[in-house]
Amino acid sequence: MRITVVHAHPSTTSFSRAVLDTVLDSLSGHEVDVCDLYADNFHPVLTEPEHREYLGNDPIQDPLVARYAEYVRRAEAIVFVYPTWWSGLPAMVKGWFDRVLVQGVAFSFDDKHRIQPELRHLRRIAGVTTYGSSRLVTFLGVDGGRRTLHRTLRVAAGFRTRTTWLGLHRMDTATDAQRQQHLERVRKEFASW
Amino acid sequence: MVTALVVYVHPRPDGFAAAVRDRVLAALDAGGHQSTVLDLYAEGFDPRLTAEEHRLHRSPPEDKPQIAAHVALVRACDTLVLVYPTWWSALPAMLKGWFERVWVNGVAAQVHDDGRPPSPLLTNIRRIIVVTTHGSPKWLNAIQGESGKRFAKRSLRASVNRRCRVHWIAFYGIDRSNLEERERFLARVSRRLARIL
Repeated sequence: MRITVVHAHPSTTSFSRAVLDTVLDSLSGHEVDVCDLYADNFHPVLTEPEHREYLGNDPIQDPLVARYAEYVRRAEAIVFVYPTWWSGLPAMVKGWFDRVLVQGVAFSFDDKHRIQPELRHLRRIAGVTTYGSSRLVTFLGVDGGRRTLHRTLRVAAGFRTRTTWLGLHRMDTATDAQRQQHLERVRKEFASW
Repeated sequence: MVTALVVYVHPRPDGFAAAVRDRVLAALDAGGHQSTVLDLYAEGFDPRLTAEEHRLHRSPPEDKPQIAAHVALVRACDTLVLVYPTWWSALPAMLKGWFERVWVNGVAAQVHDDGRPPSPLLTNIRRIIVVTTHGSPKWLNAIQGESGKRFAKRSLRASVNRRCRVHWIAFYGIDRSNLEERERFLARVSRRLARIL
């Protein structure tokens, strides 16, 4: 499969980085494009000229955004690796949605100006994240990242797209054994792709 | 009298979002209230949490002078008004990053080492008003999970006054709207604000 992996963590020695390495390792038999947002110095803020072209023909005006958009156009799967902050996607990943998944990449408008999905080529969407909160609090609370990836993004992909979710809860007090166990789950999941 | 912090987030300084903001400010003014506008785009705020800030995430906010001005604004208000466009059913990266960088441990809540849930610190905030626009219709947003609405109604609640009320004023289907519908929404903003304040 052709797979796009999106990763965001400011620290180069984070657990998130270990998860990313595990994902990439397990996907080594596939063609993988990586959007490593902090390492690539991605800027997540949609600009004024980009916003003026939201409904126009030229919503992508930055070379890095153009490269990421090309990854997405040819992807059969997208995998997100990030820490959950404030119950959702870090600004860095949210900005990847705001700037990369624009008209012509993720959706288009028909002649009556109704929105049409353009990500039907995605067969799978996966999220791999860490939570500070417990499983129960996440379940009862917001879980904004999962909602955005599995519901908002899936509307643009179609409901035949398979979704996968791997979360490590109570990250702040997780033991080494629990972290290793999580990495093992991640390895198993992506080795089966 | 209300002391409001109006956080305005839109790449365009003019246009519909600015008109919404101006209605909010006019309503505050008409009620004799005090308001401060924080325009994150105009300030050139960088919403990316840095490696240094991540390393200091358990440290007191005094260790992060770069956020001090915004922290002071957040601590001084009793009403928080958020004016932003909903993109991908959630907050724009600019606003999400503002919460990540400014509403940190020691400002929004105090994290405890003994496993107790964090204690809210922004008990000065007794009212949150969100005014936002959606490109797509309401039924589609319902399918998409409305994570932005949940963020306002649930996530933020954990950091503010226990009796804080959250008001959600939303426009759906702006992509296909006409001028008359947009005018009607502006009138609704004025009406709702007058009632809330």
